[in-house]
Amino acid sequence: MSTLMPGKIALCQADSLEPGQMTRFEPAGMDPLLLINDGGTFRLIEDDCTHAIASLAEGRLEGQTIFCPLHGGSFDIVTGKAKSLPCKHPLRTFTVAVDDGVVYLA
Amino acid sequence: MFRASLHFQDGGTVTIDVAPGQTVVEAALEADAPLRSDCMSGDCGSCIARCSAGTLALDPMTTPIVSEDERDEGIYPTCLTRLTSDARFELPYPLASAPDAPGRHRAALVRIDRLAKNVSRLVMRLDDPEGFRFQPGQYLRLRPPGLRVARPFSIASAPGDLPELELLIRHLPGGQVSGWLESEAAAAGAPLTLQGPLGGFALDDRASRAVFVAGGTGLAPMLSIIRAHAGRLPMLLCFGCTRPEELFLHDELEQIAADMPDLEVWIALMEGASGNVRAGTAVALLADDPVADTSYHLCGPPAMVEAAREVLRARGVPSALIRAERFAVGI
Repeated sequence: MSTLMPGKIALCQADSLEPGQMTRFEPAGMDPLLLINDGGTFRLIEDDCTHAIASLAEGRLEGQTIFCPLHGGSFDIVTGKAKSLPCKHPLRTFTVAVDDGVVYLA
Repeated sequence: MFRASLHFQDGGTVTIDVAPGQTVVEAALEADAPLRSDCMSGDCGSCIARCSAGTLALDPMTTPIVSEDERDEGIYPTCLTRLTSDARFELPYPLASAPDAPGRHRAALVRIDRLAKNVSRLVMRLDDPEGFRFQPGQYLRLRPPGLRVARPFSIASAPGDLPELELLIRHLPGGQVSGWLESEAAAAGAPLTLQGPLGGFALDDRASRAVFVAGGTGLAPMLSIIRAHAGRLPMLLCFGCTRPEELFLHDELEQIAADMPDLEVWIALMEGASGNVRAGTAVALLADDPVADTSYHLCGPPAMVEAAREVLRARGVPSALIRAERFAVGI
């Protein structure tokens, strides 16, 4: 049995998210987050589209670009940068740590 | 490269470059020009403008956000409009005292008042009203806590009421926001996420008199405009609901009319009218009103807006004096 890292928010088991898959988290007191397995590297971005607060978890992931389900704007999941209109403002990105098979919000 | 000149209701002008293949809204966003837009897919009506010179190509519309008659008169959703020459557009809102660019804001629920069988008033307080300067008639997108969807609602309060904002919300069976409204989670202090201000619906103050035709929660943007601009010009509000148990804010509207000498309020019910409430629709109330030098503002179910437009056209009102909030308000 592993010991969880103190002071960090555990998100999920690393092997529960296949490459290309994503899942949404709503840590207490925080805006919703979207964890993406990007070919074995975990990316953590805010889940709310910066254009019209739609949930990107319900959008489409193509490589390292996520498309909003509402108006089709897109973001780079590595940098958070908006890639196509109507999205203009970047998504916040967060650092993740994987320790003993558990993904944490670092 | 083409040039699009944008002519605002107050005479202000801005000119932008529009690349071949680019939509007018894309060019405006790139130039940070004050052409309002929201969905960029021809669904919301925020970016509608009248083209008074130039030639255009219109992308296919998935929703008929403007009618064929309107297109014949040069009215276009500029998010679906590309230029084939330099062009001139007339915008239905002023350039001066422009609202803040839409952004994400947080608010806390103050209270919910059940106004009628199917309508509630939601009052919230913005955590920080900085950056939320809006023009009466605009809308916002609201996401209650725990929901993944945000829905558009017109603002019913006046800018002077900030940091409080008031919305009128219609209860829809199975609606996510309706479900939240009726739940225990909708308690004072509940954290709300919102986006705004949005939209280009505004008072047309170029005629000497303004008429508002509102159906159901389509009353919201009219209330904001009336509260903010009362006294500037004579106004008439024609407000209609279906049944007595669905009529809301009756007393409050009568009080507003009593307090504002230049405002008249006429109310209609399709069923069960009595007293000073007339029988029929909000649109039917227009039959008793003269049309000279009047601007018309429509907000309500699409069928009501279309019926009002037809009645006004039949009475000879030029389309330039008729404007509508096209978004499905309050759902």
